[in-house]
Amino acid sequence: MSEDIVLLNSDGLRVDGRALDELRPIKIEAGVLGNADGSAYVEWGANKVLAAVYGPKEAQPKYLQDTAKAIVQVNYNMAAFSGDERVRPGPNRRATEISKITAEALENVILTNQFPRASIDVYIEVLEADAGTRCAGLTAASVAIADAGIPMIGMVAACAAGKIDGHIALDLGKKEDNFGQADMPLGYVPGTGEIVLLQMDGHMTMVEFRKAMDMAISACEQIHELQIGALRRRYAVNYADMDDGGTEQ
Amino acid sequence: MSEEMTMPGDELATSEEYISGQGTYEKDGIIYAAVMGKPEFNQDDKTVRVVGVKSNSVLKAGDTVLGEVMNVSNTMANVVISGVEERPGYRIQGETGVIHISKVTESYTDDVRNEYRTGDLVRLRVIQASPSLQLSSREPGLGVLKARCSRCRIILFNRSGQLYCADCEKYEQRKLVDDFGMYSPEFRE
Repeated sequence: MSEDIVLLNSDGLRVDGRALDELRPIKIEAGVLGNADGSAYVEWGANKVLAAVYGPKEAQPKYLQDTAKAIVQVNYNMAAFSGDERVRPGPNRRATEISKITAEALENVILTNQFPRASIDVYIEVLEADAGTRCAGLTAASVAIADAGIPMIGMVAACAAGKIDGHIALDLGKKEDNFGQADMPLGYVPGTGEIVLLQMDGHMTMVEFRKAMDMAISACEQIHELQIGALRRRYAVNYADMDDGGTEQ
Repeated sequence: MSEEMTMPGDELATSEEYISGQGTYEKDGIIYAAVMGKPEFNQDDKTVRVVGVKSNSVLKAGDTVLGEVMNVSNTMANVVISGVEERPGYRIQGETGVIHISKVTESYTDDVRNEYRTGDLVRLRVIQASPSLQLSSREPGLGVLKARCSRCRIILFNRSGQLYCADCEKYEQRKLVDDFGMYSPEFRE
């Protein structure tokens, strides 16, 4: 790639001072919206992503209904002010793709067969983007679905790994994404060990791919802990109240 | 508060120990939690369920629901909900509601067992959807749609306001819907 852009300095540190296997700081909050059935807010480095869930409710229009299970509809949207240049509002090729892959990842974990003919609508709003928004979006959406009380196999945690200056690095930032050699977002269900999302652009050898995958999976496990922590914080009081309620039938 | 709040994917028990109930799922012989909430291990019927901190019921107060009476005590009856009358074809799985003695008839009721029996198909009104599903039949249009003889299980028919079993030549009492016999509920599965 470009010779004049150095992504990794002689100390093995990246442009933002991180080590190769270091995540950006992540902050997750659950249940931030009052009107949605479930919601979550994720700050992931400079990314700011909000996810909201409605449902399960009757799928409309009716021809979308599946008599055997619920359908999952995802709408990924970038705010006009989310990039350093104005983002043209409305769906585009990229947003449609991310919506589709996120929906497919979530369909794998939601127990959709419990809600025939229903629809579960997920809205992912990217308020600020700085590479890795599909991972942040999927991470936020999983928390929002758990927050909505929708039964699921487990939460999906997502994180990317890639290749910069010939080295495998975790969670690429914007510069690294633009000038690096490969980027590979991965969605992982820590409970079952399933991979529900895997994409890659750029080039990696088999060995590098293996290393990137292991790196991303262990990061997903860390992120999963943060997701659980967010939900526990949000519902500690509600949970304590459940016990005080005493007799339950 | 001994137990921690469960998270989706938390292991609860093995399927040799318990039966997987509401808010849980079973995979490869292990029962996992599917929602955040409080795990409850019922030693009587050996089921484990998770009472969610948030309900995801599609039912709202005011809905007219169809269901089957699961069991009856003298003060309340448990009903398994299978559908909402306003939304034909919409199926509900695994939700159970309770009807209290005070909500059974418009007048005084001495014993719920005089008005409902196990296996009755009923039409009821949701009066509260969360935290627990509470049902009522204190309206003329609500009550039993179809009932079976408590002795021989054949379907009872209406004979001057009372239910009559032709085989046992016996009368039974129920809180009937006002259009009893006019309507055959189409329970889809």
